[in-house]
Parts: sequence; C-alpha cells; structure tokens
Amino acid sequence: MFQRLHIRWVIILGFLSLAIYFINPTYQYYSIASDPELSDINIDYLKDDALKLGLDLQGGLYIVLELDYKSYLLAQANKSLTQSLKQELDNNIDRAIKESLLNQTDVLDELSNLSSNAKLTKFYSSLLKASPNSDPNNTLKVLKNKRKESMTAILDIMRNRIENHNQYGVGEPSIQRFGSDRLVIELAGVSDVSKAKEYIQRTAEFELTLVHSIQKFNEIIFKIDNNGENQFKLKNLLSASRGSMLAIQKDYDTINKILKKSESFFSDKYQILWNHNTNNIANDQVLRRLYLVNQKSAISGGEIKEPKALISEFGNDDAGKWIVNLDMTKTGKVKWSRFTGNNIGNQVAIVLDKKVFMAPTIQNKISSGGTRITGFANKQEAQDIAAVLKAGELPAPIKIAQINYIGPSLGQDSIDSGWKSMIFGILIIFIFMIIYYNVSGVLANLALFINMILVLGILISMDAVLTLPGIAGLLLTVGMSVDANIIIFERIREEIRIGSKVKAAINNGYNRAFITILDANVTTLLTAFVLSFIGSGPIKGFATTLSIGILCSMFSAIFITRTIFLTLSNYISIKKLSI
Amino acid sequence: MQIFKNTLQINFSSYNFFTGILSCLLILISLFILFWKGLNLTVEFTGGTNINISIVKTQIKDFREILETHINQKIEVVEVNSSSENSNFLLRTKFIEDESFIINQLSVYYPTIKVNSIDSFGPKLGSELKSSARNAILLALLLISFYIAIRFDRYYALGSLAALTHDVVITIGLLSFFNIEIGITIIAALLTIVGYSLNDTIVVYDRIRENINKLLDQERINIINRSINETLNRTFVTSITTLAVVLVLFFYGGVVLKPFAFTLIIGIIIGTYSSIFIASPVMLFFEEKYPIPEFKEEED
Repeated sequence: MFQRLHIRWVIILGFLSLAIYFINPTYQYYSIASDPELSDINIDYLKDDALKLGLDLQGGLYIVLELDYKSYLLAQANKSLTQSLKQELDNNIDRAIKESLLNQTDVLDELSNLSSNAKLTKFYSSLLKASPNSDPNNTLKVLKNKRKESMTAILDIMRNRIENHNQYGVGEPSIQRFGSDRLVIELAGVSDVSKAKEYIQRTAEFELTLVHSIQKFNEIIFKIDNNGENQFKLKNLLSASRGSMLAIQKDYDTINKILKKSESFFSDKYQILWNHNTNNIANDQVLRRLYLVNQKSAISGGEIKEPKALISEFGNDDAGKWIVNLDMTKTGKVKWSRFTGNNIGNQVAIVLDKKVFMAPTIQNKISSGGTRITGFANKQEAQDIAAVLKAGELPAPIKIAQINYIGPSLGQDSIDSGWKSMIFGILIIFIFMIIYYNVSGVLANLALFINMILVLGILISMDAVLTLPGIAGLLLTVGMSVDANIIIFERIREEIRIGSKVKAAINNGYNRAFITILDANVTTLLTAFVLSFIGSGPIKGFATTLSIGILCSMFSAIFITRTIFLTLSNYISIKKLSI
Repeated sequence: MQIFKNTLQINFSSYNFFTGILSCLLILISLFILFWKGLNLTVEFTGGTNINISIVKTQIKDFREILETHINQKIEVVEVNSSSENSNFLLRTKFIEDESFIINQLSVYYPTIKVNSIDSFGPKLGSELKSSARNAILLALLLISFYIAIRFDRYYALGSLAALTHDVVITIGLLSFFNIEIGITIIAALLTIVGYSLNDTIVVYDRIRENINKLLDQERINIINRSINETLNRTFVTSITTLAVVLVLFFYGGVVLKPFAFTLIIGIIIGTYSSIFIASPVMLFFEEKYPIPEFKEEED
C-alpha cells in the first residue's frame, strides 16, 4: 500500500515538475515584458518557449487569399482558341465555380465533369505540351499539378515579400498553405490594416505599360457614351488633367459599372485603370485619377532586377532628392530599349494589381536596362515604388477570401477581460467548493489548482496559441472539472449515509464514480474533437483547451485527490470525513 | 452543506405529462420563431464585411447621412458599446475586398477615426463554413449516439439524442428570439452545450444502469425516479459551478464573448432540465414501445 502510494506521488510530482518546467519561460517572459524598468533586457530567447497569444488577443491581421479561378483558368488556356471555344470555356468555368460552391467540391473536378475530355484537352493543349511526361488523356491531373506549382510559387513570393520587409510594421508574420487553393497570412501586431493589406495585395500582378494620350482617351469615351446604353455619360463624370482623367471618388462604382459593360469597345487594345489612391483636393472633394494604358504590357514583373530607393548622387540635376534605380534582365533589356526608344516623351504606367502607382515620363531611350525614376516628394514615396517594383508578378491571380483584423486596443481589452473573468471564475469555484464540501472541498481546490498548472504546461509544450475562446474554454473546464470531484464526493456521501466506514466509503466512492466520470467526459471530448475540425484559429483554441482541460480534470479528480485521501487516511485515522 | 437531503423522493415521472407538453410547446415556439425570423447568421456564414470603428461622439442619424451621401454602397450601421467620448459603430455591407476606400472617405469627416476590427468573409468561404458547421453538429450527434449505443444500448442513445435535439432547437430558437447572430463561436457554444447536457444525462443513465442490476424486482419507472433523485445533488451542484463561471464570462468576459456566454447560460439551464425530464422518459418510452425481441435459443 505504502509502495503504491509512493509511486502515485512520484507520478504526480513528475507531471507537475514537467508542467512547471514548460511554464517557466512563459512566466519569465511576461513578467519581464510587462515591467517597464526591465525593458532593456533582451528576452527574445524566451519568446520561442513562451505561450503565444492568438491574433485576437495581441491584435493583428488574418487574411485568407484564394486562387481566382476565373482569371487563372482563362489565363492558362490556349491563347489561340476560336471565339466559340473561348465562349464555351468561359461558360464552363462559370458553371464549375457555381457548382463547386454548391457542392463544396474542387473547381477543377467540376470543370472536368462539365467538359468532355477531348474539349478539356483542346482548351489546355498548350499547357499539356509544356508539361512533358504527362498523360495527354488526363488534363485534369495536369491542371491540378499546375495549380500546385503555382500555389507553391505564390507562397514563396509572398513569404519573401512579407518576411523581408518590415517597413509596414509587419511583425511576426506567418504564411501557410491552406487546402489546394488558399494561403493564410497572419500578421501579428499590425496596427495599420490598410497599409499591411495593400502591401499583401501589391504582390499581385505587375506590369510596366504605355500610357495613351488624352486625345485617345477622349475618343474611347466618345465611343462608349454613344454606343453603350449607360445611364450616365462618362464625359460628364471625367475631366482631363495632366495626361489622365480625374473622377470624383464617389462615382468610383458607377464608372466601374460603365467600364465593365463597355469593355468590348476598348479591351482589344487598351485598358482603363485607376490610380491606386485618391487625392484630396479642396472643398472636400475626393478625386481619383483614371489612366488609359496599353493592354499589352511592355515589361512584366519577372523582367525587372534590383529596384532600389536611394538619394540621387552629387552631379545629377536632382542631386539630394529621392529616386528609384532599377535594372532589367536580358530579355527585359531588349524589350525596354525598343519600348523607350519608340515612346520618348510619353508616360509609362507602373501598374500593380491593375492599379496605377505612378506614371513617369520617358526621357530618353534606355538600352542598357539601368533606369532611374525621379520626381518623388519624399523617402516614403520612393520606397513604396521600389517595393511595388520588387513585388514581381505572381504565377496566378489571387483574391482575398477572408479578412479578420483586430486592433491593438481591442486585443488588450480582451486580454484584460479574459484575465479578470479567469480570476473571478476560479475564486467563485474555490469558495463554493469549500463552503459545500468543507475540508474535502479544499482538497478538490488543490486538485483544481494542480489541474490548471498541468493544462497550461501541456498547452505550452504543444506550442498551442492562446485565444480568447481558448480562455473561455479554460474557464469552462474549471467549472466542469470540479464536476468529476462532485460526482465522487456525492458518491462518498451516499456511502457514508448507508453506514460505510470512512476508508471503505472513499474507496467505494472512487471506484463507483470512475465509470460515470469516464462515460460523461468521453462524450464531451467527442464534441470538442469534432469542433477542432471546423473552426479556424480561435475556435480551434477553444476545442484544444477544452479537451486538454477535460483530460487533466479526469486525471486530477480520479488520481490526485484520491492519492491525497489515501495518504491522509494512512497517517491520520479519520473518524469522520469532512465532506 | 447539501442542497437536497438524502430523504428526497420526488416522483419525477408524475410530471412527465406536464413537462412533455411544456417541451413540445417550447420546441414548437422555437421552430415558429425560426421560420418567422429565420436564422440570424453572421458574415462568417453569409459572406460579407463587418467593420467596427470608433469616431468622436456622433449621432448615428448624422453618421448614416454622411455614409449615404458620400459612399455609393448600401451599408447598415448599428451602434455598439459607445463610451462617453467616442461613438462605436458597426458597419455592415456585402463582401468587399478593399474596405479602405470607406475608411478613407470617412476620415475626411472624422479625422480621428479608428478601426477596431474588421471581419470580412467571401461568399465561397462563407458557404464552406456553413456546411462544415452543419456537418460538425451532425457528426457530433452521430458519434455521441454511437458511443452511447455501445456503452449502454440503443434506447439510451435515442433518449439522449432526443434530449440533445431538444436543447439545441430551443437554444437556437431563443437566440433567434433575442436577435443574436449565429457565428462560429455560437456553434462552438452549441456543441459545448451538447457535451454538457450529455454529461448530465449520462450521469443519470449510469445510475439507472447500476440500479437496474441492483434492484431486479423493481419496476423500470421506479428505478428511473430513484436514479434521478439519487443524482439530483450532483446535477444541481455541477450546474451551479458551471453556471457560475459562465455568468462570470457573461459579465466580465468582454464584448467578444458575451453572445457565447449567453448561449451557454441558456444551454446549461435547458440541458439540466432535459437531462432530468426528457432523456429518461423518452428512453423508457422507446424501450416499452419497441422492445428488443428476445432471442429464442435454437435447439440442436
């Protein structure tokens, strides 16, 4: 008996010290981090081992990006399809996207179901040719492989962009694949959401393309206004200014609607693009520029090398001002030389994600590739453009599927209220248990306390992230974990009532309660298990803490309190149990 | 201290008629509310964009007017948790990838505008989440029934399933009645309720199973009554402790957890009720109506 008790204590203390070992860095980290007097101590080495807070607690940005199937599948298709085939593919893609939404299936599977194998092969013959060793009868497989490649490439580009870049206050970024066509980006501690988001979106599609003259723009506006059946006339919404059109930001949607409807009048040769931001001009008018640019780009992202923002050196006309320098790849040099030679005096648009970031004027023919962009008001502007040029072209178009942003103050509020309710909740349970079960209640509280340490230790050792629902889960376990003790205590009371001796009552109570506790907790575990599959971050946190909490509470109620009871009854002869 | 003395012998079965009608009524009312008002789903499920902003103290009427005149898009506005210096507004609109133009536009009129949070879900993700939430609830119910059918028998499984469905339907009905939006957190709360209510039910079932083996000559209905009485202390004490922490969450857990805690409060009360008044009578009903045909041993 004594020996068995020894083993029990060794197990308990072993687990406990292991848990404390895991908790220690967290305790040190947060106590140093929260003390302003110790702010110069470097605690980064503790950070990796400390409990991490979820985005909902520390504030930050969570973005899910997904493949834009429509443009992706059209872009991958054979360029020389006949008009009717193109139309068919277009329809099939639309239907496939709709079906996949309805049936929760893969868009590519739906597309291959909708199109005959021969048709599919025809649509993507160039893609098939480009991938050797592929089964020509299995276009679907080739498409899926291509998607995988594209997503991996996007992930790399994104990771590079985000991790190499801290100028937007992007801290502790994380970027992961999610399913076959999504990326999840987490930027903890981001305080300026639009900047961070803009930055992520900037890594979309990049091109340098010719800006056409206002005369050309007017011609097209004339064509649209006369031939399209639009409620508003474009010429009334736009006014020419410095090589582009100015519109009132309020009309943004209206103009977009007109442009979309009338695309066929210009999209063969031109595209009409917005400036990426608005200009605020006196009397409260928010204005935005609209450019007419060439449909075919002169240079695409992969052809630009080493764009850099720097201060122009002594000897240049703009010495001391911020400029951006860039170089071209071999193929880029040839294209750039021809393009600049033909278009001296014209503007070239720096386009990212179909938004114009800048439209500098071409001063002379550039045959070496080395290019200087001048005319920046400040360092920030130059750096922004350099970042845009760096962005490069993604192998596939992506769009935002989900955004969650939690501002830093809301996160801090959540931490505060989480703490407060945690302490309040535990206190209430402690007091209740002591009032209701007296000395045995104290034992249950001790078990509960050990239980909390174990749960925390396990959470940290698992590298789990603490979220607000996670805190709720912890608190819920506090309420529910005393349940196991309650079942046991009520059982012991019943045993005492029918006249059992103290030791027998304890033994019978524990033995009989065991099955009940097991059955009752397994079902809660089952629901927590199911939950961990559906939710995203925060809910997963809830499911994890709840499951771990339940497992630990079973251990602490069945094993720890019993060991304490047994030990006590060994040394003291208990005549009457305080329960 | 003890809530109920050991001599307690409430004849729970005598209330079966009354509680049966009460529960049916509650379920019917809940279903009626659900059909009348519909499920109030968050953007997580429907797809859409929610933006929570703080600006200087402003009448919501004026704010709406500014939005209407300057932004060419339908935006719903509600006021949430405004303090004495600031107004907090929740803007709700169809899914937009780029909400910055709204913020930029507003910052012309409210230079101190602060974005507290943004929740934006595309339609595809929304419908995916919706079906995975539905599947999760069904899967949980299925797994649980299986577990109980194995550990006890099929009548117990039917009884607990009836109790759980009862809890979930009434809770959702009440949520709809109080205009609480159902999002992933609420789904998590509903599943927690399922787990909790089941926990209660199983403790009773477990006692019934034990008493059936102990009191062979007793009628089933008496055994059930006795078992519920014997476990009543535990049922109440656990409900009190769990309710206590959930109430703490409700009052001190902050804005984000309030609906979650509220759902749990409703669920725990209904779950406790159903484990006493629904689970066992339904189990008994099925056991008496559709008894397992006894095996006839074949003679060699």
